[in-house]
Amino acid sequence: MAYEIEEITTSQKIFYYLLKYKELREEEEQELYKAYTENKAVMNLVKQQGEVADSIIERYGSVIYLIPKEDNDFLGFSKAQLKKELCRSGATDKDYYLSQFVILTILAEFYDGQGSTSKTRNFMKVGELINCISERLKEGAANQKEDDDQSGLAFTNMIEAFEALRSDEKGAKTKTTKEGFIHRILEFLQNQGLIDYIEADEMIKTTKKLDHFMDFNLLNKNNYDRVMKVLGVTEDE
Amino acid sequence: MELDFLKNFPKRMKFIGAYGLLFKNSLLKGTWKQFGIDNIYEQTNLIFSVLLFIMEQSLKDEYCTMDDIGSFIDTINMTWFKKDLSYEQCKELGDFIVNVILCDEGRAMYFKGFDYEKGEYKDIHISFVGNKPVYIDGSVKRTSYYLTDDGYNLLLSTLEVENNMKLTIQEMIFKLQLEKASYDKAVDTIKNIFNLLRIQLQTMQEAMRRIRQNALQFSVPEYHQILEDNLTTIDETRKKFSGYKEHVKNLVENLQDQDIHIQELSSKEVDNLRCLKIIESYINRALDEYQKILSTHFDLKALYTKELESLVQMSLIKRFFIRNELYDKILKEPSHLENIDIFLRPLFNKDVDKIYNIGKAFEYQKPIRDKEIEEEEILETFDNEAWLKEQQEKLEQKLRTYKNSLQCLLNYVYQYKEISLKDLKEVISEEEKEVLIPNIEVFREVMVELIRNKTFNFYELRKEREEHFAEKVNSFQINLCLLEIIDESNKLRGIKSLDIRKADGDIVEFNNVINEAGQLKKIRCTNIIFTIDKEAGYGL
Repeated sequence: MAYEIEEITTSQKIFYYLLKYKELREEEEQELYKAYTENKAVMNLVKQQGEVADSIIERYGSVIYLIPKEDNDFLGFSKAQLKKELCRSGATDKDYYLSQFVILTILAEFYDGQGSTSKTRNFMKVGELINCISERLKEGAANQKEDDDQSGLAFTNMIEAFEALRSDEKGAKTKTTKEGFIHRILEFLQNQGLIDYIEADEMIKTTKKLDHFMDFNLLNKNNYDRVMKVLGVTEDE
Repeated sequence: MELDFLKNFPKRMKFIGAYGLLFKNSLLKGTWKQFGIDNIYEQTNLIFSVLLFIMEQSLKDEYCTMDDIGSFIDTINMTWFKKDLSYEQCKELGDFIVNVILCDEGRAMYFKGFDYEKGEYKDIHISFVGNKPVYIDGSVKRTSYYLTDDGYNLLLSTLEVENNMKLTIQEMIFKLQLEKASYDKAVDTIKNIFNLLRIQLQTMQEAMRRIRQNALQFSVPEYHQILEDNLTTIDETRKKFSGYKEHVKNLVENLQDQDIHIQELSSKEVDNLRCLKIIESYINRALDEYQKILSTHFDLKALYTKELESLVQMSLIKRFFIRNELYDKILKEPSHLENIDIFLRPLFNKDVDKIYNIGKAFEYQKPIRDKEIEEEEILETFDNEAWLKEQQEKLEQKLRTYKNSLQCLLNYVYQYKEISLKDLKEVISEEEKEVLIPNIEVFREVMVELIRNKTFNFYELRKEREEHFAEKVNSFQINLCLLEIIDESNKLRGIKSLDIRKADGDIVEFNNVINEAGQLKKIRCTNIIFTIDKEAGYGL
């Protein structure tokens, strides 16, 4: 298939824009957005470049997103890089897994729905999140006692890590408090444009981006293989 | 048996469900006890007061943060309820009422209403209060609460009537009141009508916000309802209000004409005129609001179509349940967390590493000015008022030295009627010399000004001052200063004029006089002769 040079240039512009800003909104870059949505050739070219860069380019609503694939450590975060972002320096693996659990808990609390959208909550207060995490950890630990501790990763360990953090009545966000631990994670999510975190009111709200990602990508049955991978289930099962 | 009366049952249930959910959320909560509120009536009164407060803020289009709600509770508590609650506790109470009771901690609230036409229970969504992030003073990020459509309905039904009918009934009342010339009541009614229009507008704005956030959350019946309400409003409002506008305008003009021609209106008529003017302004505002509704109506339609179009490709997506399929499994087997990043990764974008271009090393190197800019900013944040005040004080201090110097001189001239600078130097004491010559610069300026003017006729100066000088002057003006001195002193008030002339040849020397920089100097200046003319009856 032959492409016009202009189409190629436009697609490169779009891809570079996406590299810079991770997303392209219609209201901010009308021309590029229009080129992408209205010119099939441009869209294919951009998607192709995304493929080469080990990413997926998707449009949800009126925003085009650059989504790094699971094993892309250049545009996405490797485990080690994520740990560096989410945990204080000198954190152990326990802390890292705890942080992953926190994010997963936030997602499970917000996107538990079955209707036309999976979103079920409008907001969550930080205090409730902390209680929720404590409870879930305990729940997990209770499950575990039955079939004994076989792997290195156990909820009991994570509870220890979590409960070792002080709970500060005034919500001081130093490294050694639960609030501080959660604060760092929430800041990260906010910087990634996934949540609105209103510190003064201890309020967590999800953004349109996260809503879309959950509805169309993460919870999409087509992407169920990711869950299988996480759960260690092989394909032929 | 005919069962037609069961039609629209879910609609009724939505209404009842709102109360039901509210009481359910409130009654079983132990938290109330912390605030010393035990009874259901106390709880209910408080909840509805807070709701009304939020409505008031929403109607005024003002932010409503937890601080505002806290202060409101604090105020009503101090004035009426007299519970032993600090401001902080009032804020906590507000947080509890709004976030826990009214919002069920952010969970979506549903009430099941039986749909007799379909023969099954239907989930009815109910929400009283919504919130959004706002930036206060452009920098502080806060949560602002506002009343949703359900919230408005709930509150309006406590005093007013149900949705579609509201406007029409209010209008009927308004019309009747105008006809009966009970304008004071008509003012209240028109205010209500205006508020209803504003609510309609806000309902649409809220709908647009929700569509933008997630069009899938917005159901088609809801959309339909809003459009229908709009169309009714749009259809009826304009014609009627334009009619009212004319009518009220005529009434106002009649009364005003009467006012001009017959001089005086009775107090009742003055009242009426006042009311009518308020009514007129509200009608104008209502018409403005109507315009906004009209344009928003089309915006909403366009937006919903657009969002749906862009989502249509996604509507076939089948989803799995995060809790069953993933979360619960991890709760059973935590080792899966090891690979959970596979699931989460699409959410996160890493910034690409920077590349150093060695060519930068050859560029002209400028110092990075961040720090200086920062310092400048700090200076700018200084209190402007304090600075002005300081400048003002400095100026006043300076003017006082001028005045003292002149006063000292005048006292001697008054005493001797005519005196030269040379003679003055002989008779003046050391202390007074410091007053006369505070520093070289001030003394020089005073003398130069005196010589330049040659003669001062205070009678004329006074007249001139009365006619021209309204503003306070911020610099040294010898005329004004002299006038001030002689006006303030009983002794000197009799001076009619002051003449200054140079005495030929003589030089006067003052030793050890400081200049502004604090150095000691010697001044040599030409001798000057001062003469005054006094009014008869004053001294001499």
